[in-house]
Amino acid sequence: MEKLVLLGDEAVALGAIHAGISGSFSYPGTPATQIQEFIQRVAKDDIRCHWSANEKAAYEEALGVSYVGRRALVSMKHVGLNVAADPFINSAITGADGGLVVVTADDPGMHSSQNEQDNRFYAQFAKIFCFEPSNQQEAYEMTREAFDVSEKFRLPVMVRLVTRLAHSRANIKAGKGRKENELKPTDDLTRWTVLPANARVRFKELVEEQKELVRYSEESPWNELHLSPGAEVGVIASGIAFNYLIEALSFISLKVSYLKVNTYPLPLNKIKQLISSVSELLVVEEGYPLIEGSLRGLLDCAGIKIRGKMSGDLPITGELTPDAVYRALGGKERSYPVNLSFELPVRPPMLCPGCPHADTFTALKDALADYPNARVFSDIGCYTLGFLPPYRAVHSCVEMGASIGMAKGAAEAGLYPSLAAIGDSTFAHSGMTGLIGAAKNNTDMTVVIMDNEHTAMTGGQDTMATGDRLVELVKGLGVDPAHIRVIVPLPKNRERNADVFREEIAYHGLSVIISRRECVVAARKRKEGGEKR
Amino acid sequence: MKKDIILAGVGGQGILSMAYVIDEAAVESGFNIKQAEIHGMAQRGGAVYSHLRISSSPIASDLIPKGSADLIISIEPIEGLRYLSYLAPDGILITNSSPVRNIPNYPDMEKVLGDILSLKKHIIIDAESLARRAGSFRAQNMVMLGASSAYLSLDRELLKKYIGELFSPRGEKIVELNLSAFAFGERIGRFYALLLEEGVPPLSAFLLSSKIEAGEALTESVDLWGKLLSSRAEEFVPILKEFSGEISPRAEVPKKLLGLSLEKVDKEEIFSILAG
Repeated sequence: MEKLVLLGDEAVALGAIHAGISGSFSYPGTPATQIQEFIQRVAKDDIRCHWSANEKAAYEEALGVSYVGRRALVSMKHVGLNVAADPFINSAITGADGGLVVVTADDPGMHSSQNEQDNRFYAQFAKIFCFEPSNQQEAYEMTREAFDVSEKFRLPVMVRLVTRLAHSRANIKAGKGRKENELKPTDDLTRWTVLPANARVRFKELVEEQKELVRYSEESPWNELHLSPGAEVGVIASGIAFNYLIEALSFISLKVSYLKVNTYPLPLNKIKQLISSVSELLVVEEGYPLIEGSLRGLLDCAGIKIRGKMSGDLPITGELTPDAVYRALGGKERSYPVNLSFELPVRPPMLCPGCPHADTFTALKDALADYPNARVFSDIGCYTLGFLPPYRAVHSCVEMGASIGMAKGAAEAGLYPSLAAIGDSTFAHSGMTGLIGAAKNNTDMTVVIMDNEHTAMTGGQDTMATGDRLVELVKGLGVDPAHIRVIVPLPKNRERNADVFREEIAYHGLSVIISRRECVVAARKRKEGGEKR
Repeated sequence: MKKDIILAGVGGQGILSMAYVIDEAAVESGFNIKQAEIHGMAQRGGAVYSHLRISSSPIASDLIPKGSADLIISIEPIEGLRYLSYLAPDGILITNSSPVRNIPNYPDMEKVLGDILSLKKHIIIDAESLARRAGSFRAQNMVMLGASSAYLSLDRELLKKYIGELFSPRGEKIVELNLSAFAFGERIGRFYALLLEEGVPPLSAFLLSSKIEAGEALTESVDLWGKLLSSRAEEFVPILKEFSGEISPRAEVPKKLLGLSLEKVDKEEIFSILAG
């Protein structure tokens, strides 16, 4: 046994490496990024693990590996699965040949995200098996097991992490690795070709297979039922919430029976056993009240008093904490007395000193001074911080790639000037598709691509198209080369850059301005060499 | 053995580097650890924290419950106060006094210091000036690690070993610089704590320890300084405030000052005694 200190993300990565994956696929996104980075760091020579253009591409690449009988990991942040939802849902119809495991790292509390969607619902929706580890050791072991389960049922399997597991380190013990599968392209072409006639058969099979998944979950030792004789209170605690339960119980003398839930579909018989032995049930789960809602049903007729997020005993938004679970169990407030003589100001994240985006925004704002109606649709990246003072330079942010589509829609509905601000990585992720339509229609809008040569927000990963390659790409999408301008965002170029913005805004057609300068943090990292963290 | 630690600061100050050193030292000592950290959007110059738990028994939660942290180590004064509710009743705040003013509404520094100085258990040191003296503004995290080292229940040699590991990719000079920052923090932190034990009022202790040179023999003069500042704070505090140089760590300095009656001596002469 090898003893290690790993992030939850890294434990998943090591589990996958030891499960004999041939490929690992991902697009950077907090809190999932460190899964792929770990594989790149320790197994680059053996496992294909470069970044994909987006999560959909990553999922499809993984699916291709599974098709040829080999094992693949695909990892992403929770909202990444929205991008990959099409291949994800349909991969439950095709099923998997080589083990296919999709890791979703959810972000309750929105530390670095635009929502706190709970992707356990996606597993339910696609009708696939899902593991939800409670700690780093389980993250390692369950990821390994997930590959076996995938091959056993010939279905993709989900591993669901949350930020506090993904980005928390702990000691783990690891076993020995397994070899990768032999190359064996599938012979089951009907299964892998989802023509309606084929898919109808497969969907029926998938529905029938659900019984087997439930049975596996029921028999899984991960779902530990602990009955404490005479306990009035029962607790169902899933994933990381189980840790908070154990922590809270160390501060409170309360006898409880509990069921630790780590797999889905839910182990129904164990739940029934727990419910029949107690008079009150508390459900603690990180994310949406999936378990609580399932138990209540529409008619709330489980026949037992259920407490949880839906009853208001636990907060229904934000991140779960050991304190919240402690209070839900009846614990009294434990807190150091805080009597500050001033109001603590919030300290929001901001653009780094010397950031090229800051210079892009100042020049852009100069140019827009004459256009009070102008709107700048922004995208997902460091530059979204341009919304905050002192810049206040962008006016929306929805999801990856939204800037270009929204600017086009708004322009076509009559907005002038309509601008989009997007980074080089996000552009390759899903800005290109929007731009191809704007080019075809020569929409009267101005797109600013902020090329800082990296996926900066997640730690400076390589991007698909930067520098000249990006210019060629924009040309290739059909944008008039006369209206593709490249500027260098520096304080000394402010006036000149503002003029470029003015000229292209004045042009009533599609313009693309590429504002190109390397991310200062990535540049420093490159010069100083590697860091331990 | 159980230590629940909250590390606090501003994105870019090196919270994760501090955590790395403590984690590795704890694990090499045979302890279990859990350490939750922040990446991504939450990091860019904003408030950053990490929950670090060390224990000889298994650790359940990755997050520390409120009212149970043994120590808060903060590289920025208001960032440490932000997590005060997590401190155990007998827990200690170990904090830098130098603010990062990257927000427009940074509170009045006197109030901030006043709140820190009135905490029952605390250590406050000027890590920024110590880091500069060690050779780089950026070494404030290692200064604070040094100041906390006596409270971690970990072998300081192990901490130093992992400071070496952390910075070795950047060369020997950077390693040395960070080890001096660690040593400076360790000495000044201990000096400050001893002054408080000697009964010196926190403000006087803070003034003295932020200006005294972080020499090796520093603690030898603590009792003399203690005597001087606990009995004659009113006389000396204004002088300490006014003195802009570095105070010599030699024991002769407080010894000489104890023998002086301030009214009879020229200020310049006192300054020259302070400078050693």
